[in-house]
Amino acid sequence: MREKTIVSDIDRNIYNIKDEEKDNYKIEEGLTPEIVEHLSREKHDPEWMKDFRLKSLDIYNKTEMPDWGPSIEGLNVDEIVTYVRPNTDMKADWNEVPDDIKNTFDRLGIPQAEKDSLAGVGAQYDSEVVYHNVRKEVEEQGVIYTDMESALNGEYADMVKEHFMKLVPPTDHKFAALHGAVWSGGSFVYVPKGVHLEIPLQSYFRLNAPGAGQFEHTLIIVEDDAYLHFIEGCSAPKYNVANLHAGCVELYVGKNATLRYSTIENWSKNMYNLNTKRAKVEEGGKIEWVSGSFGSHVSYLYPMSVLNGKGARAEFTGVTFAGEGQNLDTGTKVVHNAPDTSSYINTRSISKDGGISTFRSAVVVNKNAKNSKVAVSCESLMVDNISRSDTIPAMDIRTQYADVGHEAKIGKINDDEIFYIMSRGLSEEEAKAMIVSGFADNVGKELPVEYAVEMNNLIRLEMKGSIG
Amino acid sequence: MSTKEITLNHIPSPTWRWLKMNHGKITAFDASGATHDYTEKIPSSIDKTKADKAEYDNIKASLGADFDEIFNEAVTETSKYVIKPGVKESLPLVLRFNYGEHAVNANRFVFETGENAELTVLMDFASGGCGDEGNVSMAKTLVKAGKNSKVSIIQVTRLGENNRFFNDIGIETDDNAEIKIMNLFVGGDVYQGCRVTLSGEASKVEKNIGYFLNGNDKLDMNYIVDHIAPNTECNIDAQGVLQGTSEKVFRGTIDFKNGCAGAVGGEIENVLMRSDDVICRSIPVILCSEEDVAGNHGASIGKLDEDLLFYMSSRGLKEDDIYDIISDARLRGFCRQIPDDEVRRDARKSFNGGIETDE
Repeated sequence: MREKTIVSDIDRNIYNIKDEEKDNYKIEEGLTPEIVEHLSREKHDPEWMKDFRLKSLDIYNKTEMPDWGPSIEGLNVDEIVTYVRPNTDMKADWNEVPDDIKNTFDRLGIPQAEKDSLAGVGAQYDSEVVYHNVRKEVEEQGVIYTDMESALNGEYADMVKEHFMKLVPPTDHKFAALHGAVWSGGSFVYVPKGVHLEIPLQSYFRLNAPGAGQFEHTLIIVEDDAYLHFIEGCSAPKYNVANLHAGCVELYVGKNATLRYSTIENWSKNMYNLNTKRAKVEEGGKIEWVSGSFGSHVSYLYPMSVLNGKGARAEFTGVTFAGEGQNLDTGTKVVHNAPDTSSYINTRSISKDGGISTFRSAVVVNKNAKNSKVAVSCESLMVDNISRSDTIPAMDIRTQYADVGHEAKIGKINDDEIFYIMSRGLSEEEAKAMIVSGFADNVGKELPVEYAVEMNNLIRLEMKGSIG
Repeated sequence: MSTKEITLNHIPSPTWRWLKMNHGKITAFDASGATHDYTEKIPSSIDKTKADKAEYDNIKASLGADFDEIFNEAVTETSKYVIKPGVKESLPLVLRFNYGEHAVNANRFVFETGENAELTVLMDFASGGCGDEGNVSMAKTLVKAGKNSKVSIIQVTRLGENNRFFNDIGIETDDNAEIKIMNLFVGGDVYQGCRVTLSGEASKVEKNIGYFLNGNDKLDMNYIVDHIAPNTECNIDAQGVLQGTSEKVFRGTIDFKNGCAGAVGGEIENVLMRSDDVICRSIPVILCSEEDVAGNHGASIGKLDEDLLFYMSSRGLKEDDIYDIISDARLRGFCRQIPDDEVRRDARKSFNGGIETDE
C-alpha cells in the first residue's frame, strides 16, 4: 500500500528571504492623480511622461476588469503601494550596494552568475534598479544596457520617447493602463546593427516590500542583423497580503535580427502577476520566447509576437507549473501580419495539489500574411484529482494561403513509466519528479544550463509530497 | 423594430474579448407568430405524443438563455417520439422542413429511447428561396437516450443566403448509451448549438460535422460535450470547405468533469479555405478537472498539403480541379450517411453546383 509522503511546506528559503524595511521611501497606498503626480516628481520625469502617466490613469479608471480569466477579486489596487524606493541609488559595483540588499541577491546567485556567464546585469529591488553593470567589451561594441530612468533622462531620451508603450499602449487592457500610470524601474537595451552578443544580459526583479506593486518597464531594441539573448528572473518573499506585479516588456526586433527572451518566473504565492510582454518583428527577424512560470498566486501572462515583416518568425516555448493555491493562466499570442511569416508554439502545463493551469493562445493570420505557417502544440499533465487544467486555443485565419496546424493533449502520468523507473531503485516521488522534469524538458533544453538546473530544482520542490 | 442585441452560443470558458469568439451576437426578433410546419415519415414502431415541459426542461442545449427566451415565445407545443425498450428500428424517422414559405418557423422535438432500443432520426432543414427579406427558422432537438440504447441524429441543413437558422441540440445519456450526431451544413446564416451530457457510465457520443459555405454564408457553431460519468467517450470530427466571402466560427469544447475517471475525448477539425475573402475562426477547448482522462484535439486549417498537391499535379490535374476533388470528397462522406435517397440526392445537389451524382 502506498503511503503519503508528508512534507510540511516546500522549502523556498532561497526565495523567501525577507529583508527588514528600513530607510526605504514609500509613496502612500492607492491610485489617485495626486499619487501619480507625486510619483512622477519623485522620478524626475520629463513633462511628457508626467502627462502620459496621468492619461494612463484616466484610461485605467475607464477600463473594465478582465472578465474571462482567473479571479483577481483578492487584489485591491487601492491597498497597493505603487512606489517603494530602496535606501540606495543605483550602483555599478556590488560592494557599494547596501549589505542587506546585496546579501539577498547573493543568495539568489545573481553576482555569481554575472561573473560566470553574463555580459551584463540589472538588479531591481522593489521599485528601483539598485545595480546595473555591463562588461566593457560589450559596451565597446556599442551595446547600451542601462536602467529605464537613465535612458529616459539621458542621451537615449528620444529613442525611449519614440518607443515607450507604443507596442503595448495603455488602452490595451486595464493593467497596461495601470503600468503606464505608475511604472518604475526596468531596463533599456539597444543592440546596434550587426552586433552579435554571444553572452546573455540579465535583469532580475526582486520585490521585498509587503503590499507593494512592482511595475518595471523593459524596452529592448535589437537593430538589423543583430543578436541578443536576454534573461529575466523574478522572485519575492511570501507575505499574507497581496502583492502586484504589472510589468511591461516591449521588444523591437529589426530585419534579420534575433532576440531570445528567457524568463524563469518564481514570484511568491501571494503575488498577482499581471504582466504584459510584446515583440514586433521586422523582415526576416526572429523572436524566441522561453518562459517558465512557477510562482505567483494568480498569473495572466501571454507574451505576444507581432510578425510585421516578410519572413518574420516567432517561437514560444513555455512551461507552467501550478501548485496549491495557484491559478496560472499563461500562453501566447501571435499575429501574422506579413507574407511568409511562421510561428511555432510548444508548451507544457502541469497541475498539482489543487493548482489550476490554463493554456490560452491566440493565433491570428491576417489576409496579407500569404504563405504563413503556424504550428501549435500544447500538452497538459494532471498529477492528481483535485487540480485543474484547461486548454483554450483560438485561431483566426483570414487567408487561404496559410498552413495552420494545431494539436493538444491532456492526461495523467503513465503508471507504467512510474513502475519502470521505480524498478530501477527510485522512490515513487522521485520517479514522478523525473517524469515531470522530462515533460518540461522543452523549456529546460532551451535555457542556459544554470537556469535549467534552477527550473528542475523548482519542479523537484513542487513535486515533494505528490504521492497519496 | 427591435434593436436589442442578444448573445448566444457562449463558449463555456471565455477568452480574450478582442477575438470576438466568446459568443455570437444578433439583434433580437419577434417570433411570437411562428408557424410549425414540417412533414414526417414515422416508422410504425415509433410512438408520437406531446411532451410536457417537465420531460425536457432539464436537458441542456447550448444556444443559451437569450435564445431560449425568444424560442419559447415561438413554440408552445413539443412533439415527442418514443421508441420502446428493446425495439431496434432499422428505418429512419424522417422530418423535413421547407423554410422558404414563412417568415418565422419554429419547432421543438423530444426523442426518447427505451433500454436497448435503436433509433435513427433524419432531419432535413431546407429552403427553396425566400426573397430579399429573408426568413428566420428555429429548431430544437432534445434526446433522452436510455440504457444501452443507440441513437443517430442526422441533420442536413441546406439554406439560401437570406435564411437565418437557429438549431439547438441537447442530449442526455444513460449508461452505455451510444449517440451519433451528423450535421451537414450547406449555405445559410446558421447558429448551431449542440450539447451532449454524458451522464451515463460508459456512454459515448460521436459528432461528425461537415460544412460547405459559399457566397455570404455564415456558420456559428458551439459543440459541447460534458463528461460527467466514468469511462465516457466522445469524438468530434469537423470537416469544412469555405468559399466566396463566407465566415465560420467553430467552438468545440470537451469538458472532463471531476468524477469522469477513465473518460476519453478527441476533437479534430480540418478546414479547406478556397478564397482569400473567407474568415475561419476556431476555438477547440479542453477543460479538465479529472486526473484519469485522455483528451486531445487537432486542427488543420488553410490550403492543401503540398505533398498531396504535388502528387495529384503529377497525375495531370490542375490545382483548381484538385481542390474541387478534395472538397467534394470531404463532403461526399457525409452524404453517404444520409439514410434516405431523396434527402441524400438533394444534399448532393446543394454543394455540387446543382449536379446530381451517384453515391
